[in-house]
Amino acid sequence: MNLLSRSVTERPLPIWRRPLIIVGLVLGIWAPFKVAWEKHIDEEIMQVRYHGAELNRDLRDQLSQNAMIGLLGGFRGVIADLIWLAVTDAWTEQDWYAAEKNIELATTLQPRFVPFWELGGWHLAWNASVDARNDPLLPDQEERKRREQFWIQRGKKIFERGLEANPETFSMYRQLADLYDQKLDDPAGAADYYLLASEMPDSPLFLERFPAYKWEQAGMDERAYDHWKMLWNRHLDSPDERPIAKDKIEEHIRKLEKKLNVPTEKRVFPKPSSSPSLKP
Amino acid sequence: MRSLDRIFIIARNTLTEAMRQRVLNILLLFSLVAIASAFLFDDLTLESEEFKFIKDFSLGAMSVFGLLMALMGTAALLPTELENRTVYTILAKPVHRAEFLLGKFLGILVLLGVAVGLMSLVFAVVLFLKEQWVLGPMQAQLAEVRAEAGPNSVEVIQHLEAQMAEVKEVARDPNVIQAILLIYAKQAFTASIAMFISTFASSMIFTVATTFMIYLIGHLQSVARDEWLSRPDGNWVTSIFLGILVLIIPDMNTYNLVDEILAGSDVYWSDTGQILALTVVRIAIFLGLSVIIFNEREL
Repeated sequence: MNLLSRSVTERPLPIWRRPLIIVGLVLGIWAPFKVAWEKHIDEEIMQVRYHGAELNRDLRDQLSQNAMIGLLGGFRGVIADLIWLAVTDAWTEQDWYAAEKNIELATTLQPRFVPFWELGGWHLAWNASVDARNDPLLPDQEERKRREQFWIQRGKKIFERGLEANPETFSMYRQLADLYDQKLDDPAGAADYYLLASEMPDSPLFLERFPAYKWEQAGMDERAYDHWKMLWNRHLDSPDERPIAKDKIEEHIRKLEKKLNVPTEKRVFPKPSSSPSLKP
Repeated sequence: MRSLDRIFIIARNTLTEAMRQRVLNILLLFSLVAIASAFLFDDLTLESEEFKFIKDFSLGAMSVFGLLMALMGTAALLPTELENRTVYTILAKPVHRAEFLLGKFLGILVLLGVAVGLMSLVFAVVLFLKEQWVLGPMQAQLAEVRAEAGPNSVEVIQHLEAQMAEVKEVARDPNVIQAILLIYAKQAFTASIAMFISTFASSMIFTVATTFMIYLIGHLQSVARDEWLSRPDGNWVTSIFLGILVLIIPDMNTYNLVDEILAGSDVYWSDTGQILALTVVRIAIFLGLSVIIFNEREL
């Protein structure tokens, strides 16, 4: 191997034609473009990842050496999956602190994978809280309730961070709505989140009725009535009744018109078995 | 005979030889088994989790085995030719060294393409079977609820239909094609680095080890770059070291978009296209440098 000169039988190449010099020159000219282009792509990836963690020291401290090598090898997804399996293990062993730590890690590695947030929040707000409520090792009922609330709040925090990282999907709004409804006993708060969830483009149609159900449950009948009326008008000309469930909307409007004593001329259904008046 | 014809003939010959190599065949076989075994992920809470695990695991296997094939296949090219002395026979004919090198590289690209194609096929079958496996019970439940027609059946039906649509969406995510293309691009680029190193390396092991080191350091390069760019007034020894690292070593994290695709992020073709364009330029530069060195190498 001889990179600097040709064989002794030939005349040596001028310095500017020697391969090593040419290689250095090409790499030198390419380098600034390379750095700028690579930096630009990296920034775009970070933007796609949204609030994804950089390879910072905190993350390095939390990951094992093997996981770190995997991460460096470009296997972020696989590492996140393996950490998630540890969440599942911690759940079955009811080691909630380990579960929380690994949920944090997996969601930090892949903040755009919504099920990590959904399940992570559910583990803490539902499973861990119920476990704390029934924990015989805790001294008294008050402490059990305090621990239960602690885990509900931890789950809520996971959902809120998930929403921050994925604001365009209905799912995180729905998770928070379910939490307000089932764990915080706050149907009005749940209704607000169900409303936000139903306004997302990927939301299933049945969710649009949920805010009204919850407002009724919270005693906010007028707001519920307005929502039902809005739904009725929205689907007035819709030929497909099954996914919209017009019968349910009608049932609730009739019930609330009676309960709120809505004047006949303002009712959608002026008489008990009448046809609806259009766009009241 | 035109130059392109000569390149294609060498490429075809390289592909045939590579396909006869036991190591590469075993690697391919292992990769197919690994991808097929991804079907075993069936004990997770959500279907979307299972699909994500299958995709991550399968594409991870594709990356690892593809990397090994690119490394072993490319690193063996020149030493084998030199050892068998076939290179002298070929270059004694009116074949330019650049044509010889390009033909060899093209052969490796086709080999990697065939391997990635086969792995993708197995991956697609695994995804299809998983989808059917998951949808089966859902369809049965849907039929049951429809037959019962209970008071809340509308909500249940809609919920089930939404779930089924979600499963189909996750299983048939067209963005996976972008991920596979990026994996292929990464392998092709790694092969071009190996080709460049093999033009002046004295042994196959040297080529494999050096390329692998560049591959690993390349995944750290962005950390070095950020440090280098953010601290221009730091220790000069560190600055020079980081500068050399940043300017010479390619940033392999540019291919990490694959993870974002599999995590369900909205990744546009323009993003993928930009990375593919960068790969083409990178490969062209490394091949060009390989030709420059190989032209002057004493055989």
